[in-house]
Amino acid sequence: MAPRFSEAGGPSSRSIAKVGEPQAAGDIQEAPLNRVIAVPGWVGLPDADQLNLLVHDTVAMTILAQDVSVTADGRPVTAALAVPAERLQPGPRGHRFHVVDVAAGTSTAQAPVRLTDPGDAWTYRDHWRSPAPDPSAQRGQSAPADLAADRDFRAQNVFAVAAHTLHVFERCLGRPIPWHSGYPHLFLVPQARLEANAFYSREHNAVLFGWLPAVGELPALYTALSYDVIAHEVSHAILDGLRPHYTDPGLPDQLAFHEALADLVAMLSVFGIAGVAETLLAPSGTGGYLSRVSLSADPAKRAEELLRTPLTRLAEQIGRRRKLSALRASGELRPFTSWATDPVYAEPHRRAEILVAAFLHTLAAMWSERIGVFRRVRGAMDTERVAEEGTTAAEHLLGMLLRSLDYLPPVELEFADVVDSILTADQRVAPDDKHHYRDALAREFARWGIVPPSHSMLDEDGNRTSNAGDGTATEPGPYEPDPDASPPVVPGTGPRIRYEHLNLVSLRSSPEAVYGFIWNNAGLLEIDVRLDTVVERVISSTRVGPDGLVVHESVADYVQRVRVTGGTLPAGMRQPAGLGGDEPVTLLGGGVLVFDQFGRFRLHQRKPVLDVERQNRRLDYLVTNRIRGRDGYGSSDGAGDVRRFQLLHTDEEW
Amino acid sequence: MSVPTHVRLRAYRVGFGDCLLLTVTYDQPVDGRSQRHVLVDFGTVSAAQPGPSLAQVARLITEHTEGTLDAVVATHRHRDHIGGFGNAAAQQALSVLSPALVIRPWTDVPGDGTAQGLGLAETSVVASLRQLQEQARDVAFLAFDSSRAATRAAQLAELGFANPEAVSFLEEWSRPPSRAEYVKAGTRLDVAQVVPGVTVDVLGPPTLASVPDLAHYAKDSAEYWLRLAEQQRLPEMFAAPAPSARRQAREFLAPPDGVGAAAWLLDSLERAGVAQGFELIQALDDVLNNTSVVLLLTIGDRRLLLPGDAQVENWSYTLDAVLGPDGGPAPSARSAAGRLRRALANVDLYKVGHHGSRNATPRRLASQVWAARTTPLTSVMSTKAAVFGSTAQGAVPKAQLVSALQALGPVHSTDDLAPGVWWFDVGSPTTGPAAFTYQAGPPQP
Repeated sequence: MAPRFSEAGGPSSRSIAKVGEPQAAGDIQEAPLNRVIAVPGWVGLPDADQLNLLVHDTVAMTILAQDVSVTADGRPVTAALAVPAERLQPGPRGHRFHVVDVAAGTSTAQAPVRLTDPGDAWTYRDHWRSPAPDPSAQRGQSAPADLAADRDFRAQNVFAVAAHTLHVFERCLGRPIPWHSGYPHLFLVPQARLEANAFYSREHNAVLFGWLPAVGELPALYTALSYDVIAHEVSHAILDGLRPHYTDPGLPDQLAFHEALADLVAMLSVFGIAGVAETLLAPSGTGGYLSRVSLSADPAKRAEELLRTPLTRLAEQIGRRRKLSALRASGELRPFTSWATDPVYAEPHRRAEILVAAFLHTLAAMWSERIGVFRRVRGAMDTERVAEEGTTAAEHLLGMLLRSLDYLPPVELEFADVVDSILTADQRVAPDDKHHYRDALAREFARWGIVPPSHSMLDEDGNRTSNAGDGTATEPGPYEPDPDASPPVVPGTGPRIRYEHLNLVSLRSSPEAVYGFIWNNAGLLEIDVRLDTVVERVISSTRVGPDGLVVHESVADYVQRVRVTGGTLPAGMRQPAGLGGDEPVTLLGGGVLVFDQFGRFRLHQRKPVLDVERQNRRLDYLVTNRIRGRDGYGSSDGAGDVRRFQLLHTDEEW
Repeated sequence: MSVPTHVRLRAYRVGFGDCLLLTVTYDQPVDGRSQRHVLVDFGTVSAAQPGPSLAQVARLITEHTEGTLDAVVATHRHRDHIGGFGNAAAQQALSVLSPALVIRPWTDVPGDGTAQGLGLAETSVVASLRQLQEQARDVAFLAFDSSRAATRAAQLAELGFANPEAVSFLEEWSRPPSRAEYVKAGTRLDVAQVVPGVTVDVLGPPTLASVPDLAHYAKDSAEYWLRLAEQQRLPEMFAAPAPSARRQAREFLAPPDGVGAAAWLLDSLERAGVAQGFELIQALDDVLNNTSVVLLLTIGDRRLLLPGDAQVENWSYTLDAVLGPDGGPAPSARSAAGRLRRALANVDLYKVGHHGSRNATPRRLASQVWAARTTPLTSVMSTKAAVFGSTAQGAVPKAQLVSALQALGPVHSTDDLAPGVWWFDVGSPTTGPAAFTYQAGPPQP
């Protein structure tokens, strides 16, 4: 069996306690990417509830592993979740999250919750994981309703799941991730509104969780208790910090990716909870020690079986909780390619189903491949081992997805760019793909018609990389190339990237230095710097591949804008019906430049601003759907949170 | 046996409301009359200006029915649909009529509903709906973002919560020998004695299949809010904060002395206006809209769809059945659902739901059921612009919906009538291809 814990992209393999085993006192050192431990009620050693936050890297906090209505032996299923250790103020408030319990609109405030000892912000105490000798005294042993009713527990739960989710992203990207606001904290408001909904609000730099009081036999509902809801919304916030332009008006793929990523993180997080995969494979009563699951010997058939039973069931379970969740239907979808032009799938939530489905199929294929070597007895395999491999495959896939985020183009994202970036990023950190995961991913996505564009990658020598692209050639732009941007002619050599006059240290941190690099290499990079071009961000990351390969990189994002009107569109662009000649139109383009630790240029992932075919599709979509801001079509319109993430009106509305 | 030869739907200019008169003409008289008349709703919340008073509309109805109204449909208890029945002057004109059949939704059943065979969940909803009227007075205590939101909420509350005069008038009409039908989705009404030759399929409102689970709380669940209202708990949860509350919240959550980092969030939440009072009232308003009777009438080759104000949630019962659940397989053509889908696809005349609002004509209906039509769909819309919805997004009628319907066929709106014209009608023979002709009433002196 492949080493499990190092594959997740963490610095090293670490220990993890399993259900029924005693845990090491307090600290889960570095759990696998996504792993939490399901504990019906509580399992642990005495004193495990008290921790010095100064000396541990992570701290295990008790959280609710599944919805409070799901119980094991009549008790809520809790889990110990690895949360980065830090000084904790009342709120709880760490250095990235701040829980503020206020009801929006009525200003009803509740006291900040203290998770540490009074007067000592460095000693954390997990009250729901109290010593074992008297289990009946544990608060975690209470009935579900009691646990849900405990406001202190709810505060710990929302804080821990949010902090863990951010931690997973940061480990994969090898660097801290800023919030869109620029503030160090994201606010978590556990009882913000009376509704069965939660949403990330850029305007408030917060995730606002809804709740509903109990009525009659209906128990109270707290969205801040649901692991998947918290992971979903915090993922929106994280992606908004990483890729703020994905909520700019554009093709529906961008918002669909927002939804799909949040759904995938939520689902794969829950799938990573020990015991969940096993329970899904062998439903209650059929599992247990020596339980076996019937699976085909044929890898493709086996993948279909795995997709049908555990994955689809979990996706539906989680998807039902959110009104427009892409998870709800994606498990049922089977590969087809006509979605790209089907108006039903033009709506971002529906479109997200396609991407989620492609990932679920990939996961099933990876999982099937991993268990291919297992011995089958009368057509059945050991359930526990099958489940373990499923969680490992899920962790690996989540790692592949999250590691690729820095390689995604900063604007104008399309699904093809997602698969392209994953393959590229994975190639960088895991050149030796012994399980052929990249092949599986490319193959499964191709079945949905999502194929990496072959024109978007450019290596350090200015050559196009030979990926498994769709063969699309770069179309000539509407304007003649800049005659002054050609690389210098050096007798005896071909055109190559120039580093003259560059300060390589600045190149790692300074947008101006990166712009200088673009300036000198504009012709080779095919970036027309006669147009409005801004380097928005330069960041450094250190990532560790599954085989221990350490990759240090600097990643720079640049954005290009062309402002025209309906009547002055660049040659080759059509003026859609309904677009007035005087209406302002903003065309967006941009890309990512990747440099290695020596400042050498490695990759250019680009979405050309003058890609007429894409710009026509985008403008048609914006005009048809009347996605128009104050400054015309295509520019960020300040429409606020409603348009961004809430997307509350259903696809049945006009 | 008499056979219908012609059908006509007349829409009166009541402003923001519905008042429609269906007239079926027969090849030979039935009991001495060659026509039968069904009144569908009679109410307004904002009269047309210029336009008739409710009493004047009532007199037109008695004139157009020649004093004999055969059936009345009160789709739901909003004032813009039944308010006219509660207007004293209109009542005077209407009192000469005595319809043989009164059709109302199951949620309007008198008593507790057990006599009509309603289940526990349904009777609970009926009881809660009855309480709404009392809740209207609490509206003033809720928190609103602005005086405009408060005014709008008061409008909505009044629209839905206080129509006792209209309800008792309808109940008077329902007394024997007249027949009262409290209908639910999935049934076919026997109207042979009242309007022979007409088949009436009820597509809404659905009954509650089961008590909603956790996933269907709140916005998805009418019942949740109703029960909260029933327990008189709305004011405490939605109340406007006391002047000192904001200061206290700051001191509590943003140390030191209310100037800490969380103060920014508190200010930001306050500025954005996220008070939920209005949302609550709107949710309750949606509850009532979703009690709308939805009727599919088949008269010869003609099919008429009359959905009242039913919104997406009410529609979903029928659409899920005929289109198959989300992402699932569509029902076979020969099944009952398949036949219903065909019937819906072949509707010739559509009374635009909820005055053309954005969420009362499901997109699925237009994009999936009507997409492949080869014959025109005639739409009749009773509305008045600029009463509800101050933004393009929330405007009633919604421009995108109207354009989509215009792409399917003519859309006739009471709002487009010339000044002084108080009604229009569309009529068609009941056999052969649908050929609805439009005719505006005479200008009033």
